Amino acid sequence: MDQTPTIPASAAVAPAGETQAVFDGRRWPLFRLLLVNILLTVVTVGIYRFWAKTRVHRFFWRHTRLLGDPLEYVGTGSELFVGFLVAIVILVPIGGIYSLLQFLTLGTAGYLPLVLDAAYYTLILFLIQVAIHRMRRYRLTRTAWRGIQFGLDGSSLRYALISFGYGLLSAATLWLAYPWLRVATMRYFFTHARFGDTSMTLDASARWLFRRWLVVAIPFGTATALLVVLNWTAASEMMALNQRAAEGQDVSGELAKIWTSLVWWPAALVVAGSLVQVWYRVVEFRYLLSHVSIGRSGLRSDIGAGFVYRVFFLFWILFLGLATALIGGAIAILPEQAATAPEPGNAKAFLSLMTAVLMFFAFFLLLGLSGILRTLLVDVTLLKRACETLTISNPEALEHVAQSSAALPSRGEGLADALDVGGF
Amino acid sequence: MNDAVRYTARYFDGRTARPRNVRISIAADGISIYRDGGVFIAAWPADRVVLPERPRQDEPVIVGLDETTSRIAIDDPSATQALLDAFPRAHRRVRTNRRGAIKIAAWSAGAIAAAALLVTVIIPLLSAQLARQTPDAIKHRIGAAALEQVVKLIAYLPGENRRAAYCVDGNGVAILRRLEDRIFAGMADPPEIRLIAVKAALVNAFALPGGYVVVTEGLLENAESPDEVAGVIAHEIGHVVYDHPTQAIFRTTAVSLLVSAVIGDFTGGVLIGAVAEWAINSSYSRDAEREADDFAIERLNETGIGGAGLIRFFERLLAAEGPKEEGAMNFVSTHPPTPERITRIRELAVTGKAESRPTLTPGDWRALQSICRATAARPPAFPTGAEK
Repeated sequence: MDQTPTIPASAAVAPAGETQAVFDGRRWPLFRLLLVNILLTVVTVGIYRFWAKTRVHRFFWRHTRLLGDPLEYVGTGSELFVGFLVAIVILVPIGGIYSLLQFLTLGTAGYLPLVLDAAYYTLILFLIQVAIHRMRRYRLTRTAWRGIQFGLDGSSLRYALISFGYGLLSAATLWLAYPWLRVATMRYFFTHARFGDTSMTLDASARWLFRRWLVVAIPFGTATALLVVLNWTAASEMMALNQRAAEGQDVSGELAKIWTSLVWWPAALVVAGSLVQVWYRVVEFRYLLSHVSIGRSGLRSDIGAGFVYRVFFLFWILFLGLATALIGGAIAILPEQAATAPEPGNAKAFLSLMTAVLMFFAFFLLLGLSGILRTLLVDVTLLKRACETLTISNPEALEHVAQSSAALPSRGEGLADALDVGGF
Repeated sequence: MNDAVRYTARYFDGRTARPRNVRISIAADGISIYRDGGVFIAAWPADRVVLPERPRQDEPVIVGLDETTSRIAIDDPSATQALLDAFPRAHRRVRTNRRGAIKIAAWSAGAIAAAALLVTVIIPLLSAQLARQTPDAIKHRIGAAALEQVVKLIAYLPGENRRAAYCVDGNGVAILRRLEDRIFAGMADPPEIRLIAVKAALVNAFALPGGYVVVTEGLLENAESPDEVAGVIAHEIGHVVYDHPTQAIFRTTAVSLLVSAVIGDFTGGVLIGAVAEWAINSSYSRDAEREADDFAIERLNETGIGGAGLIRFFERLLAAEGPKEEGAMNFVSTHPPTPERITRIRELAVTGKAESRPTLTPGDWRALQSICRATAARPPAFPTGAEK
């Protein structure tokens, strides 16, 4: 990655042929920011996370420049915190009632507990969709460019219904109708999104995406079906083997065979599936973004899948290396402790405590570091690339956009935080 | 306005997205904005000038008009100093981070206080109340379901034989009943309990909702006298009397709801959450153990069994296992003995034999220890409260 030269604030609109969008955030300041955030979040048992998130958003927004001018994030941590409190007031009673009902039906025969679970998870899934729209609304209204704020109209309930309806359709068609789900939800989002007083539109066709989606769906679906058919009896064989193992027979050879067909093949399938899916995701991103217009200006993306693959590949290599080093390191320290530990009796308890503490520490470190690594290596790199490959047609038209008088929501994305809806 | 400093800048008026190249003059009373030709456009009063971002090297300085998204971008880095000189309030505004930190600390303290109140007062009260309100029939059903799960879980621990087995030797079961009656002797309105032995090498005893009290074969074999077994069973009955197992279900649910709500989804939150839940729940169980100990002491003193057996058993367990936690089993309301608990029992319990009648005859004791000669895959049936 070369350093991107800073673009003077008074630069005129970039001439045609040059990049119109850049992300010029440097990794070192971002790394320090993320590190301080994690430490403060841990120290405050998670309460600081709202302010931490705000600082990260400010960083990313500030360093994203369109036509030479940076985005500005005007949200605050307190808004997020209040939104979180509101979400707690909604979600804790729901969780409490569910737990209570679960308790009352515990141990009852029949379908009652199943129906209860299904109803609960349906409700949560629906709330997640509501949360997504509300989160986007919050973030857009807190984004300003050239002194003009973005906005998102429409209703989160309506968005959730559309998403849910098309989600059911997708599930019913064994996920073949997935592109229709994507286009329907993204269309609702973009047609209700606006920059100042100017509405955006999305003019995309699900049929076009469907043909690309088949590239993912057909091989993956066929392989899954094959695997299911070939291993139809594996689960019952596994149980029979367990039974025999309980009776003291040596079944390790057969067990390894079943393990391969029940665990390794599906794992390989998941990995292969995600690899193909990356390609579809990039194609979809490029296609959808290229069909967005803001008033009389249009967007166009030329991001390629090869670059995205390289980024993920590098990240996974580094992540796996880090994981091996940390876990290996934790294991390597242990034997020394065993040698110097006091005599038996307390030694056993001491050693198991040490193991627990070390494992906990290594795991925690890995979690924190992998989060930072992901942001630095994947998020930053992809955002940079997405900016460089973005072109804005007819940018002069944007100058006529006026501020909107629509009211701003006063609270943050609490529901999304509580329901663990991540991403940008 | 002699001390005014001038810069060229880019102005966004907050009404349209059209950028304008302007000249600005910074003075103590505010910023004046002029078009290139010198025509006046706008004036920003000093008390509304803010710096929305901390000025950074190599980046244009952004100045804002408070409570709007109007912005002026100045290329010249020397503008930072000029702005800070002219508008100390804008400078302070940049450092709202510090004020923000105090606010965050205050909110965090408030949140921690609220959580502490929930954990120490509201959740125990609420779960005790809910446990009282739960009909016995539901407790029995849950207890039966939990029993099956826990016994299966024990069967799959290392060193066990992976098969859930309940001990049903007729002679042994009859003596278990006699032991139960002995513990309740002279007690007004004894609770309804379901005393069960399971075949497992693990040395353990626990209580479940609905009056289920379970002892393992390992415990019966490890015990050196019937007094020890009677002491442990009396302790577990104490849990039943106070309905700790049912309360524990409500409590752990409430605690996990609370912890997951507060901790949220930040990196490593799941781990911290698990540790927090474990710490909170084990602090609850310390109180419960004391209550159960008190009940056991009262019964052992009353019936003349005496506390010596319970103390001996706990001491042996402590010496063998060391003061550490057993495996995490949610419903299992057992807690390892601590030196403090043993001291307490020694102080309160009658340890000398007040009565010469032994708790069990040597023959009965042998029969009880071999209760697992006959086993069954299902727990023995007990009449439900309604049928009784």
